[in-house]
Amino acid sequence: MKRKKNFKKKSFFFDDYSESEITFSGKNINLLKISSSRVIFLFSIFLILIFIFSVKIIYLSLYPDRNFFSKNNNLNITKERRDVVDRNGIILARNINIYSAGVRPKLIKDKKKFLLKIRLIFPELDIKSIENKIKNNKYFYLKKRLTPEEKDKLWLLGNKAFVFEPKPFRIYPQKSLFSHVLGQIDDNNIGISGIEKSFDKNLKNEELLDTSLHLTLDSNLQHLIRQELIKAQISFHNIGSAAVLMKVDNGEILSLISLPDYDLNKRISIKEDFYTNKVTLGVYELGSVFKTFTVAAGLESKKINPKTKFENLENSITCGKHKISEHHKLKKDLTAEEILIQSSNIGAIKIAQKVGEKNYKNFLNSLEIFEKINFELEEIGKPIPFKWGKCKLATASYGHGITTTPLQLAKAYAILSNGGYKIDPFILKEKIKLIEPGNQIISKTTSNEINSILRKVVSLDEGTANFANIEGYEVAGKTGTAVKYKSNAKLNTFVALFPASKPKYVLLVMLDEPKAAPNFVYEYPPSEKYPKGFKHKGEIRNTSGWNTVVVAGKIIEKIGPILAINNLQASSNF
Amino acid sequence: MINSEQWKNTIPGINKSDGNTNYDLDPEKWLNTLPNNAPPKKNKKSFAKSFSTTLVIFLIGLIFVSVIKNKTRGLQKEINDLQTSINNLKIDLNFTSLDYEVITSPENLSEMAKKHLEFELHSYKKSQIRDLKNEEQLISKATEIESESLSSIAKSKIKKKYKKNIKKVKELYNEPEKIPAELKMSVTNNIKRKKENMKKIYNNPKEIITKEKLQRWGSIQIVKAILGIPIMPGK
Repeated sequence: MKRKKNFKKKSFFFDDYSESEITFSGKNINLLKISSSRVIFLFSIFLILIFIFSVKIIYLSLYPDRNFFSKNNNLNITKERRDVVDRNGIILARNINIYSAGVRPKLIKDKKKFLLKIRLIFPELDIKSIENKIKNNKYFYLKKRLTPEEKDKLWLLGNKAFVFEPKPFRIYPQKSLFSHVLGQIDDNNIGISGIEKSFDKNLKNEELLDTSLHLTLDSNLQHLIRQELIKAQISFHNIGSAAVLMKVDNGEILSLISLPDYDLNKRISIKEDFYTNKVTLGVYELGSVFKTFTVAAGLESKKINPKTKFENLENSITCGKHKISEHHKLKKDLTAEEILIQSSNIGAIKIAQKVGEKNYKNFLNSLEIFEKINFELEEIGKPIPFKWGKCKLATASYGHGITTTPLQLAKAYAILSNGGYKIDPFILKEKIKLIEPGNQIISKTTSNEINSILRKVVSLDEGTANFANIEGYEVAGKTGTAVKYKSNAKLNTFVALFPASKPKYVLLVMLDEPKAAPNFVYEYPPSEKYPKGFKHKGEIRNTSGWNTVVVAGKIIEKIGPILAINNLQASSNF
Repeated sequence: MINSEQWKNTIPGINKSDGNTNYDLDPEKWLNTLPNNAPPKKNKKSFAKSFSTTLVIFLIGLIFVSVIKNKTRGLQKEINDLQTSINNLKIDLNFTSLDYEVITSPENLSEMAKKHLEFELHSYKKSQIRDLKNEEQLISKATEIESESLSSIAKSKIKKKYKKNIKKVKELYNEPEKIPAELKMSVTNNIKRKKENMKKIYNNPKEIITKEKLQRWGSIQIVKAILGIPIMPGK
């Protein structure tokens, strides 16, 4: 019995003790070692967790912007487009989120009450159509682009049926002041005109969203010039006008205006030619302003000097079918500078003939008048190709049959006045630093001679631009009166340079279809012929000297102090 | 037929050399094969130890991790709140700067000026603007000269002024006959009066302190105390 019992006990022990197998296998692994490795394993897991959270804390403190949970907070101010500012940092365009109010009809509990409240907040809305929309039981927009006050009023109703959808909207605080330069964007944030189109990618560049796009334009100058152009519209009944103010030494544009303009915030579709940017896109025959190039070509080729006399000038010349005559009676003998001062058509032809077609052509080509200008805006006009023929030299010499854009004309005048150095107009401020001195394409002597002749156009009584002789600014310039082919209406231009002794600015003013202004009171600048304060009324002439020059004079009078105060040096005396 | 003896002989220890056959199994033989140290007993102890240490570490880790996680959450929440408030401020700033631009736009300003100003705004003429650079240079030069010569000028002025006075005093001292009689009389009267007063004070010092004077002094001290001015002891 005892044996049996023992046997049983042993066999039981032998079966149940599983570890014995290991022991018996001969591997002497310590059981304590196994448990300590488990502890280390657990400990290391906790250590890793602690490390992960510590890293997270450091990460959150170092990069709060990359906080995933805080991304929702940034939705309200997520910019989709950069700001555009003027040279002084004044905002010209900025994106903001504007809310639209949507309605979920299913969540309206008391429809009558709902409609009543809407009528109180938006009395201008058609309640019947809203009622119908509610009946349709489909989501609809109650009002888009809510003002903050309207949004607050709706929000305070506390109705769950309202949904406020934020939508980015471009605001132009200066309204229509820069309409032709800035352009517009569509509902999908794509630029469709002006700067908005030309710099669409740049304005949407995510890395640059917090910075602004700086322009060289000045809001104050722009406003003053625009005001004068609007006043001119009242006085001379012109259908449109344009002006550009540019630095002659580097092509920096300070002001660029084309009228009529439009309020950019109203987002109207602009398709009519009426709204063309006249400065960059408009291609015009600008008239006698081209005579300056004829005289400059003569001086540059050394065929003439300012005192070269042209004797027995005819009153009219016939070239093919065209009869070319003077605008008004002039002396028979005129020097080269008198031809420019008194704007003689016949004299200009004689100079061009002396220069020769090839030289004259090369000279105009060097000023890049016939080429498409390299400019930041996409709205750029291409001058009509000029075919040189039998009478073309004669007509081109006084600006007839030759076309270009006002911006190119301003550029050519800037080159003539700055010592003959090539420049390219620009409106991006960042370009100022990048600009390198251009090639000299006209000699300094020619440039100086032209400047002094153009000064006489304004300062002498026989000159055509006396009204722009504003005291203290040494204004020089040349008038141009062109006649439109179809309508026989006028297109008057005046290009002013100031101060003439060392020009710093070129101002081009163009009036489209101005009319004679018999009721306009002309105030004469003091001269030998006219005493101080001399006024004249009842003028029926409609040439550039009687309207565009007056406007340009008033503009210079207004912007001159600003240019001087800004240390931009409007006068050589400064 | 199966031969039972054939299998019997295969069992170890059955065929003995002495010829006696032993069919019983020897239990001691297997018992001796067991290891000397009893593992089951020891295993129980180490398991409890390791379990407790693991539990402690687990609990400590759990507490640590939960504390750190809660701290992180708290921080994250705080950062979120701050970010929200910053964003709200940014939005406000955005709108305010836009409002400012609209209000101060040249067009708006000129319209407001037309509406609210009684006089018309005129632009400056060139003649009204001075050459600041030259002006500044002149001013700076003038100030330089002034600062350099100020001390010498001041000295010479003082000298001139006192020289005149000293001259007069000297003249009067040297020639007392030139002093007008009226001036002499007033000066002697003043001296006499002062002398008499001094004598009175010297003879009866108590008479100087009258009731009126004491009352006045007391009221002044009260006012001073009210106003917070330090009270001076009476003379």
